[in-house]
Amino acid sequence: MNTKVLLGIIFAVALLVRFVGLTSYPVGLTLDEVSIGYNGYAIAETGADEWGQKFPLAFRSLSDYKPPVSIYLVSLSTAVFGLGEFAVRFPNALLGSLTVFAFWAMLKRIGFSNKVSIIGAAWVAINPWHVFYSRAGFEALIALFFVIVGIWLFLRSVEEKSFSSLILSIVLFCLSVWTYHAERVFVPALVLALSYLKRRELLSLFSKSVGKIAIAGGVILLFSVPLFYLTFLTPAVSTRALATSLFRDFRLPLHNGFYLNYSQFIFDNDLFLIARHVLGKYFNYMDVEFLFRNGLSLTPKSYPGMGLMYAVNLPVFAVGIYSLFFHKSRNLRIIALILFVLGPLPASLTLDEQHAIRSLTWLPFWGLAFAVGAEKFLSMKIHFKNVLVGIYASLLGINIVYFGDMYFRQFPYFYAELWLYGYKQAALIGCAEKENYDEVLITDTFGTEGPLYTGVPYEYVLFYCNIAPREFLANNRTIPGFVHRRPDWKKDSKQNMLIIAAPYDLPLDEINKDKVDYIRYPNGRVAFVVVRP
Amino acid sequence: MNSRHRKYVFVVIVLSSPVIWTLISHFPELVYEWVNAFNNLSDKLNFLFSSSSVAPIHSMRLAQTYTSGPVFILSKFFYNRVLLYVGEFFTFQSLFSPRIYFLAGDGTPFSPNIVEPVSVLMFPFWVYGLFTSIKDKRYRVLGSYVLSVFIVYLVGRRQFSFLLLVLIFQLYFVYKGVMMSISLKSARLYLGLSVVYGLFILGRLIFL
Repeated sequence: MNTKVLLGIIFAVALLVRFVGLTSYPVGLTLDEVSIGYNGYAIAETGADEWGQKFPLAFRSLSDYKPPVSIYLVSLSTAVFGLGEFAVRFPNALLGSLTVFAFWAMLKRIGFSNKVSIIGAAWVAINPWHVFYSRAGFEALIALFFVIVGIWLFLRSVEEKSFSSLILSIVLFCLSVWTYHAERVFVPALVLALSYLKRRELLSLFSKSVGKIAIAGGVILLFSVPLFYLTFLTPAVSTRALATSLFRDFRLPLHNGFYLNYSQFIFDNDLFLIARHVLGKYFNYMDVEFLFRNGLSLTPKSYPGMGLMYAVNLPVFAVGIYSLFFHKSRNLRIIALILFVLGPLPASLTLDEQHAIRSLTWLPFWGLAFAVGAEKFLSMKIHFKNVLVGIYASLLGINIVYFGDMYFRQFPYFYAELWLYGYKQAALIGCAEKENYDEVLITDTFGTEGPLYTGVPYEYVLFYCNIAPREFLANNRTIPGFVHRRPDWKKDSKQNMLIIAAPYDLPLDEINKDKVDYIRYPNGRVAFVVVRP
Repeated sequence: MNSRHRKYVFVVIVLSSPVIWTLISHFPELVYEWVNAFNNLSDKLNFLFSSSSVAPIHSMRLAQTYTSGPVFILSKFFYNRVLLYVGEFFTFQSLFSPRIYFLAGDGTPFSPNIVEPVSVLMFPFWVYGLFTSIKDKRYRVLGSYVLSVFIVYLVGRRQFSFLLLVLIFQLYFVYKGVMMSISLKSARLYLGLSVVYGLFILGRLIFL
C-alpha cells in the first residue's frame, strides 16, 4: 500500500476516534469550554468578548485570563456551525486529527524511514493521551499541534535552506506560545536548543543577508512585544502564573531569607530547597504508573485507571529509549534528549505533583521513542516475528477496548460531577420555563458529597440559551430573569421562582413531590433538584 | 585505573550516599523490620489471593448498570482478578523507579525527606551504567537486580530496610557508569562535583 493510502486510513481512524460522540463525551462542557465557546461566539457576532473588549489579546475570565488563539479558532467554528458543543470541540478534534500528518512529517524529517514514520503517525492517531485532549476544548492540544508542525518546518528549513519554512516555523512556534501557558516555558527553550543544534545551517541560511535577519526578527518581535507588554504591564499573564506557581505549594517551606543560624543558611538555603522541589516534581513525571496506569485520571485513585499511553506499549518504549541512548544518529539522539529533558519542564514549575495536560509537551518524545522502538523491532532478525506482532496486535486491541470502556463508561460514572454535568440541563430547563416565573434560580454550589464545588451557572445560561452578546452587555452583564446563588428556602419558596439547586440546600421532605424533578448524574446520584412553585 | 583504585571509587560512592549512614544509625529498627519480614510476606500473599482485594475492581462493573452509551461486551472481561495482577505488576515495577533512590526516599527514618538516599547528581552515571550493563549482556547482574526487586515487592514494604537489597544494585550501576566514563575529563569533574554534593547532603543530614 502506498504512503498516501496508509496515511489516509490513519487519518480516517484519527477522525473517527476524535469525532464519534464528540458532543456527548466527555459528558459535560467544562467551565473553560463554555467560556471559550461563548467568547468565541461573541467575537464572531460582535468582534468583542463577553466583557465588551474589542479583539482582545488576552481574554478575561472570572479568575484569570485566557490565551487568545483557541478562542479565535472557536469563533471561526461558531461562525460556521453556530454556538454549540460541536463548535467548541471542533477545532481540537480537527487539529488533533491533523497532528497525525504533522507527526509523520516530523519523524521523516528527523531521519526515520517512511514505514517507521507511518507507525509513529498511527501511534498518535490512537494514543489515549492525545485522543482524550482532542475531544474537549483544551488549548494545550492546539498548542502541541503548532509545536509539532513548527519542529517539522524548522528542520525542513535548515536542511533545505528554505527561508520561507523558517519564517513559517517561527510563526507556528509563536502561535503555540499564544495558545497555552506551558508553551511559554517549553517553546523558547526548545527553539534555543534546536537553534544551537543546527547553528551552522542557520548561520548559512542567514549569511550575508540583512534582509532575512530583519524579516525573521520582525516576525519574532511582532509576536513577542505584545506578549512582553501583557506579561510585565498587565495582569493578563501574571495572574495565571501566580495561581499555578509552585511557590504556593505548602510542601515547599521556604525561609524567605530568615535563617536561624549559619548551618541553616548553608544547608537549608531557599535556593537549594526550590531547586530540589522542582527536581522532585520533574522526577514525578518519570513515573511508569502515571504514564501507563492512571495518568489520565478517568477513575479515582483506589480503582484501576488509564495511563497516558497503552500499557502494552511499555516494552516498545523500553526498547526505544534504550536504542535512542546508543543510536548511531547524533542528530536523533540530541533531538530526543532535548524533547525528553524539556517535555516535563513546564509542568514541573507548577503547583501539581503530576499534570497530564501541562505535560502534553512531552508527547513528541514518547512518539519518537515509540518510533525508535518499532524501528529496532522491525530490524531484528528473530524467529516467530509474525507471531509476536500478532500477540502485540491482540493485546493492543484489548487495551483499546479497555480505554473505550474507561472513557465512555467509567469516566462518566465516576467524574461527571467534575465535568459540571447537570448545568447544561439546568440551563435548558431554566430557559424553556423562564416565561412562567418571575425568576429562575440556579445554584452556584454543588457536589454529591456536600457543597464542595462552585460553578458559574450564568456562563451555561449564556451558552445554552444562546443569549446575544450585545443583549448581555446592554444588561450590564446580567441575564434578566435569572439569579445565580444558593437558595434561601424560607424566602425563595414564597416567590414565583423556579429553583434549581443541590439537594442538601432544600428541605425535600417538606416539598410536594409533584413539584419536584431531578437532574441526575450518569451514576444515578442526584446532581440538582428542580422545584417549581 | 587499577583494581585498588576501582574499589576506592566504589567506596566513595557508597560513603557519600546518606542512606548508608541513616541505615547504620537505625540498625536496631532495621533488624526489627527484617525479623518481621515473614509476617509482611504472609500479609502480601493473603492480599493477593483474598476476595476483598478485588472488591473495588468488581464494583467497576456497576458502571454498566447506570451509564448509557456504547456497550462493550468485553468490558466484564476486564474487571476481575487479572486486572488486580496487572495493578500489582505496576506496583512491582515502581520499585525500579530511580525517584525513590535518587530523590524522594521512603519518608521513614531509614531515609528522611530532607535528603536523597543517593546523591541525585549520580543519576546520569546510573543511567549510563544500567544501559551499558544491558548492552554488555550482563544477564546475571540484571537478573539478580530484578530478583532483588521482586523480593522487596513480596515483602510489601516500600522502605529502605528492604530496598537496601535493590540499592546495592543501583550503586553498582552508578559505579559502572562512573567507570565507563571516567576517562573523560568532564566526567571526572562531574564526578568530583557529585562527591562534593554528596558531602553537602550528608551535612544536611547532620546539621538539620
